[in-house]
Amino acid sequence: MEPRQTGFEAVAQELIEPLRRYLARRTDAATADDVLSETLLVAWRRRAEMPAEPLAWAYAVARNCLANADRARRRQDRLLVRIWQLARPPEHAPARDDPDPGLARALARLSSADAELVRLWAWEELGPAEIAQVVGLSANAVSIRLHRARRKLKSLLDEQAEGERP
Amino acid sequence: MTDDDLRDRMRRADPAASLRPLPEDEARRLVAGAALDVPAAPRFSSRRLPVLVGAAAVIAVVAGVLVLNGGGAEQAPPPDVALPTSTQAGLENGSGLPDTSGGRLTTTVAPPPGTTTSSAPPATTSSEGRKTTVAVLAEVPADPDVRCRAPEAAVLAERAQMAFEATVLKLEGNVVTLQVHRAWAGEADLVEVRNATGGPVLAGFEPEVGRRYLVAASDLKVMGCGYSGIDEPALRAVYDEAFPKR
Repeated sequence: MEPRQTGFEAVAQELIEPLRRYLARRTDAATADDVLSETLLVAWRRRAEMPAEPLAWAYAVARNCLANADRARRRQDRLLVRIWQLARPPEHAPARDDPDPGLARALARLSSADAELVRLWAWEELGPAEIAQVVGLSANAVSIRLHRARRKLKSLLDEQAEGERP
Repeated sequence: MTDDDLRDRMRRADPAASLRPLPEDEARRLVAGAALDVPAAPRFSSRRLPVLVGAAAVIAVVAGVLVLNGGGAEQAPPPDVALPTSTQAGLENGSGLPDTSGGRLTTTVAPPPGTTTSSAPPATTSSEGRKTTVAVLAEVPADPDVRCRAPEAAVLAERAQMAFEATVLKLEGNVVTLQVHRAWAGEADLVEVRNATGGPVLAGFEPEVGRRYLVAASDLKVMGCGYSGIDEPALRAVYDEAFPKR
């Protein structure tokens, strides 16, 4: 008889690095560490639902955990604002040592949902069906939206390039 | 700009490009930590024992021994009860060998004085308030003169009241804490082994955080002589044979 969890640890070990990269691309290091732990915990609790190809499923878990962490932080920020009367304007925080600020600016001009589709395509190297699993859309809808998002991003980058020409 | 060009530009700006892989130990610790959340180990046991009662019994026995020791000179402990400070060879380590010490008592090894209260079960660890059962095992020094035969399923089945597959979560002083993934016999979510050997060796293996072991215990003492050790197919086969699934 094989123990029921033998598979979980082995699979989870394989997921750790992709999940760390996923989180490093989307949040600060400290939050990434917290959310990674939380993601593994949720994955463990829901291991019965884990599919044979678990990567997209794990990204979806991480995405939810990250959204929860962001919500908690926003609540905390609001509380701080109330207590200290700090008027902090919402800002787009550029990534640390952003190697391509132009790309970051162009991505910021897409809707956050569209930008995420492009990130999942380019950084996580997922296909439409896997992206669909992560973001909870149909594969068809992802294909259409991803196509449009890429087109828009390219045109924004082209515009930048035009503007920079002497 | 083609899609490939776009992807290349995105990849060059990948914030995770410089991320160094996590050390293997740390990855194992993370996974083991997540698994600590488990409400209960899967149980296939045909010989369930209430560990809480067992652990409480150890404490009661220890308390009794201490009281007796302190209370009167004529109340010397039986010669074959291993005390925590004893450096005597522990023939009663549940090794499954022919018992050369003669008729032996079932009294368990006492955890070091002062540590028994901290081990009082049940411990509650989960954020959801689920109970975690802690089995407190002890280990006595092995007799270097004893030669061990290869582990036998029949001996394991006869002697072991507990047989677990477990991952080492932490090492603190002489206490090794293991997360139980599976119980062939007995019942626990966490196992604490108080290592009374004075060395880092636990039943012949060096505990390593994140690593998986098979641990058998007889009378709340870890069985040595190859009956406990790193999770390997040969040892696992002995466990499976000793405790067939019903």
